[in-house]
Amino acid sequence: MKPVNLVINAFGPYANKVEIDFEQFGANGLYLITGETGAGKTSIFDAITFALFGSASGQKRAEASKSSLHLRSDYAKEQDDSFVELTFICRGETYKIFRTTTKEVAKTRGEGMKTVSEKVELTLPTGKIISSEEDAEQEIQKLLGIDKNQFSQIVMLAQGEFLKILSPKTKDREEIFRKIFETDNYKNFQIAMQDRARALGNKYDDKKKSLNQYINQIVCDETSELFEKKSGENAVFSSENILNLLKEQNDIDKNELDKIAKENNALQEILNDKNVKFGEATEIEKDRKLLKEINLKIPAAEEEAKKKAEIVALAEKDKPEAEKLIAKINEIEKELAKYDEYLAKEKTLKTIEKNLKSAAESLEQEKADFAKKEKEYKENKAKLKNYDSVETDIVKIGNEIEKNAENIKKLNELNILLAELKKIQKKLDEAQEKQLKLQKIYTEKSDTYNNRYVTYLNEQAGIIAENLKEGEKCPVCGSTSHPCPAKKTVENISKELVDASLEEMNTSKSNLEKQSTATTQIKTQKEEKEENLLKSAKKIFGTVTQDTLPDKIQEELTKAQNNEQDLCKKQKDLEIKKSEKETVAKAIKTFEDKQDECKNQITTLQDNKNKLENDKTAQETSLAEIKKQLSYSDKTSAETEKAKYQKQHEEIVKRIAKANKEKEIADNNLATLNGHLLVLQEKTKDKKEVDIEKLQSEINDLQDKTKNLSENHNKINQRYFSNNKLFTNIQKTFTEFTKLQEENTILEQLSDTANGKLNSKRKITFEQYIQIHYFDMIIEAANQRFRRISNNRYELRRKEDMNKSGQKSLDLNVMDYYTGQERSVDTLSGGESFKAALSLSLGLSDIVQNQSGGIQLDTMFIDEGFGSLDDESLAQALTVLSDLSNENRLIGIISHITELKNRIDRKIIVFKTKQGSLVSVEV
Amino acid sequence: MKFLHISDLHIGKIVNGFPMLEEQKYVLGNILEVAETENVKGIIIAGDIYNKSIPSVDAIDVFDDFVTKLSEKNISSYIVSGNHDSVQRVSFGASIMAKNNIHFAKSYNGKIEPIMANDEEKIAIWLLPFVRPTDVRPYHSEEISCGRYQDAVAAVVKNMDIDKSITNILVAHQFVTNNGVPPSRSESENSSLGTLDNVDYSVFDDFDYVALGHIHNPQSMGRKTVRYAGSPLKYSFSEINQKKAITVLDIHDKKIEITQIPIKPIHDFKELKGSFKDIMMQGCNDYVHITLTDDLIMDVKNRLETVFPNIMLLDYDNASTREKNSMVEITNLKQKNIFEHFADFYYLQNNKELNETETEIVNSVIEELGGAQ
Repeated sequence: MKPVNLVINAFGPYANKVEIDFEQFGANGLYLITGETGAGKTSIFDAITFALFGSASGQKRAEASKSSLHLRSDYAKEQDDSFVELTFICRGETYKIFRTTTKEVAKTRGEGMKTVSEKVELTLPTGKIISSEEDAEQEIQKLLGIDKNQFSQIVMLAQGEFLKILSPKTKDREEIFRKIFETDNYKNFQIAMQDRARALGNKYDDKKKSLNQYINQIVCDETSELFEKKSGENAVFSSENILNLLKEQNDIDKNELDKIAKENNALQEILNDKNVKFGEATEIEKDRKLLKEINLKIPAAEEEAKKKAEIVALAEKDKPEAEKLIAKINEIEKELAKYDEYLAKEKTLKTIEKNLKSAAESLEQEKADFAKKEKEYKENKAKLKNYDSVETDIVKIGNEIEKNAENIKKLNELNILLAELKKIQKKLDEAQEKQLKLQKIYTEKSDTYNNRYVTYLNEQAGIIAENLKEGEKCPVCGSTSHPCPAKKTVENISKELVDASLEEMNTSKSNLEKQSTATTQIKTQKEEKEENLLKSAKKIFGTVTQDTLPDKIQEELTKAQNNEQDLCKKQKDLEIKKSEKETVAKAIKTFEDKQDECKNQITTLQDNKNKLENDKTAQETSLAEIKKQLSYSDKTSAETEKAKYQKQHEEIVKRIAKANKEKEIADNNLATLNGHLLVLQEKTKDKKEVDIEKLQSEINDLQDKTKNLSENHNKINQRYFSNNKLFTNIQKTFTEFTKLQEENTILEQLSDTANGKLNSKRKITFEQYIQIHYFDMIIEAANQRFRRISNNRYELRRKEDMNKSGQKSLDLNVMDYYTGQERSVDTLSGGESFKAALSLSLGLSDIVQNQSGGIQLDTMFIDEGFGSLDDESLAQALTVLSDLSNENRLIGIISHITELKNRIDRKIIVFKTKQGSLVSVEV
Repeated sequence: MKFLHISDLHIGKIVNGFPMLEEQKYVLGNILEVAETENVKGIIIAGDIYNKSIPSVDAIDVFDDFVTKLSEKNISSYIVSGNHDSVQRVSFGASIMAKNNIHFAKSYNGKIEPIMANDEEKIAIWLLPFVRPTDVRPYHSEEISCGRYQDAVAAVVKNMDIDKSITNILVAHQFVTNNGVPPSRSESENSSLGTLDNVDYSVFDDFDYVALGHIHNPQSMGRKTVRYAGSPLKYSFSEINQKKAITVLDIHDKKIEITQIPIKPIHDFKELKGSFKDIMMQGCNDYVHITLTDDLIMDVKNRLETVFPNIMLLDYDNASTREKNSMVEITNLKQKNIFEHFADFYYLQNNKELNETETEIVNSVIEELGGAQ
């Protein structure tokens, strides 16, 4: 697996998107990732691990939870995803994996945050995209050949983690090797062997138990030898002996049984005979007793029969009465129907009366409504006449308002003009002031100039005068006598100074002139404005002066505004009146339309009412007719009468039936008794007497004898049968037992060997044996580098434990050639440990690749650890690594050490800014 | 005019745990003496003054002392920094130092001005510190294509105004080859990891003499006047047979005579091999690399140290180490199947082979597990 390109967004300290192109580093060699502490160097490796496996490197940085929320950059904006995208080459094909971290966003509904979970997308070289977490994990495992734990052991030496390679105890290393070298099979073999041995052992135990059970079940005399043997502790082991003794006993028992059986049969025959005779005698005795009883009962029964016959005759006298009652009942039934009819008709009458009342009411109501509406209509018509003039008034008011507004406008314009005039006046005053000032300056300058000029001239004169010699011509006037030569002044006025003064004077003069023209301009402007104002004012007020103008304008303005308010109010009133007029007109029209409708409604109601009155009268007559036909006052009293008659009839009938039944019973009883008597008399004719008691005791004796014999027989029989069965069982079980014994020994031996439980030898399991092989190879591969890097001083050795236990067989020792002794790897210093760990992990990766063929680890990462090395060791470590990297491996080193920065050209530099970290690549 | 040419001092270096500072002080003292006796005009130091970019204070003191003494004796120094030095740190105060004829090369800024060492004749000395392509690229980006040292150095040379009429000496610190053939190398040099850093000697054709540094074995490349001075001390056991020397240049009218004056250090590097008994007889104070032919000896280092106070390396060459150093046979454990492995293991633990019944059982268990592995 070689990374080609890495894109990180909002991950760890990287606030925004950051891209690293590994292709610039070529196919092999070393490259350095450097930067300040906390800039984000290890985060790059975290990103790679996260992209491949979904969580970060090293135990310290990945919390136990499945959430990768902690990887999300604190600088990330909420809507941005934190993602890592890694493009890598594996076995010549390019893959791309894209993974986002979990993030928290505000809930769309309700308060609080909800978590959006991780997403993953793995793009295969065929173009297919895998987005399920489990599938991607499987695919990556397949590609790389190792899972995350192995990855972090072999490929990535994370910060502070390299010690984990050196110091795990045998148990941990076992785990690691199991995973990497897949020694599961060997372990499974061990376990299967053990299981099988155990299963067989169980079977053996069970067999032993059941054999024991059988032996225990043997029934025998407690004084016999058999008993002694079978109760021994390890009876199972004397099974053969026991079997023989048992067979002997069984034979004896069989003979005994036969003898008893014969005896018993003879006695049984005699007993049967006697029992028959006894039975006959008891029968006869019973019959005789019964005959005597019956003879006593017969007279009572005859008496009873006679009494009952008399009662029957009495009851039958009431029969005609019953028939009369039936006739009365039928009559009443015929009338019942008519009562119902009457009730129905009464109800209908009530309904009709109710309808009639409501019809009358609605008619009255309608008539009243209509009268009211008519009155309103006449009133409205009168009102309408008042509103005729509204429209014209409205128009007049409108015009007046307009005129007022015009007025106001004109007055405002005047105000504006006034304001402008004031402004101009001010400007003019300013200009004039300035002019005065300039004037003063000019006069000053002029004076200065003049003074200076005079002085200068005097000076010149003085200068000339200086050179004057009596008798020589004066350059100015030609005179040869110089009575009063000019004197040089004290001041030294040069021509330049004079010229300067002249300049200044001229400048100020021109300034003054300029200002003067400006002032005049403004003045003319002002005069223009004044004229305009007075002209406009005259138009409105006639002749008026400028002073009084503002006040007058204000007066007029106020007046006009008040006027405006009044007019507006009047306009509003008129508008209201207009709308009122419209309402009235509408009401009038409505009534005229509806008039006819109302009248029709009234007539219909009247007709309805008349019809209902007729119905009522008809119903009343029919009701009177029915009443004449009824004999009782109402239905209920008729029914009560009927019920009374029915009850009386029933009583009579019941009485008659009961009497008849009793008579029958008595007659039957008598007949039965008579019959019985005849039968018994027949049976007891001519029978003899027998002595029953003597017979009974003879029978008892015989029974006792046979019972004893039987018991004996049973006892022996039981014993014989059970022992017989046991004999076969024991035989069978014993053969099985012996066979199992043999098998068990073999299997125990195998299982103990496989599981390291042999008492005499070193206690290593099969799996450990294989692992030790691997471990030895790894150590050898590691030593080739470790020797070099430690200048042949150290070598790694596998700990051979003295007490032959396999518990420590995968621990490491280091051999120090300087002292010639081995000691534990824990005694190495930090830097030496790092060298050892580095060599070991390189060795491990060598062997892994060798064994698996499929795993190509052409990339390696080392995160810090170089800080613990001194300069020389650093140089040595780098040599080892660079040798390694020349064999087509790309090794990345994270370190902040300056020396490495100088020695390694290819760098990724990570630097912190206020808004997260950034990355730059140097080649 | 005479000049001395030295390089690769590596002041402050620690070799196999032994600080070389005292040796270096001694040797620099010697060089000072030679400079005086030969009456040289100046001394050229061609790079790798220190061993680290931030050297220790002791190292700095030593070099300070050296350079000051040179200046006191009115000998000019011409110094460039090498790949181990930090060019900015070494050339601190270069302009002020130049006033006392101590010349440091500042980091490359596009143009190099020569220093004129004029006496009987005009000699231009050009100081070029160790440059990487990244250092040169900002100034001559068009001329450097793919980041090769060759192109970078060529570009730098092209941008120098060389007056061929006078003697031109270039002081540089690069990895120079002769038509692809590299110089003979030692273990103690560190090249850049990962890039092609060689520069062909033909780039320097315009110079009469090129004083090079970087390689620790004194040698010339391509022509006699393109020369590595070599390190003044041995810094690894691979240099044990090299003859460390100071190069002396005698320049007359553009003709340069080259001689060498050998350097003797306090302690030499020696390699000894033999049995423990024999070696114990050959005690000395030199830095030794001892190879014992015996098998393992207890506490061997402490015992040897009684006669050899300066043991740098100690290893064994006996039957077992020879065995280990031969190609380790990495057996593929997968060549045997699980049955065969178990058979071996069983034999190892029980000292007997599996019999028929046992074989059967084992095979059946393996089958249960799903086929032989």
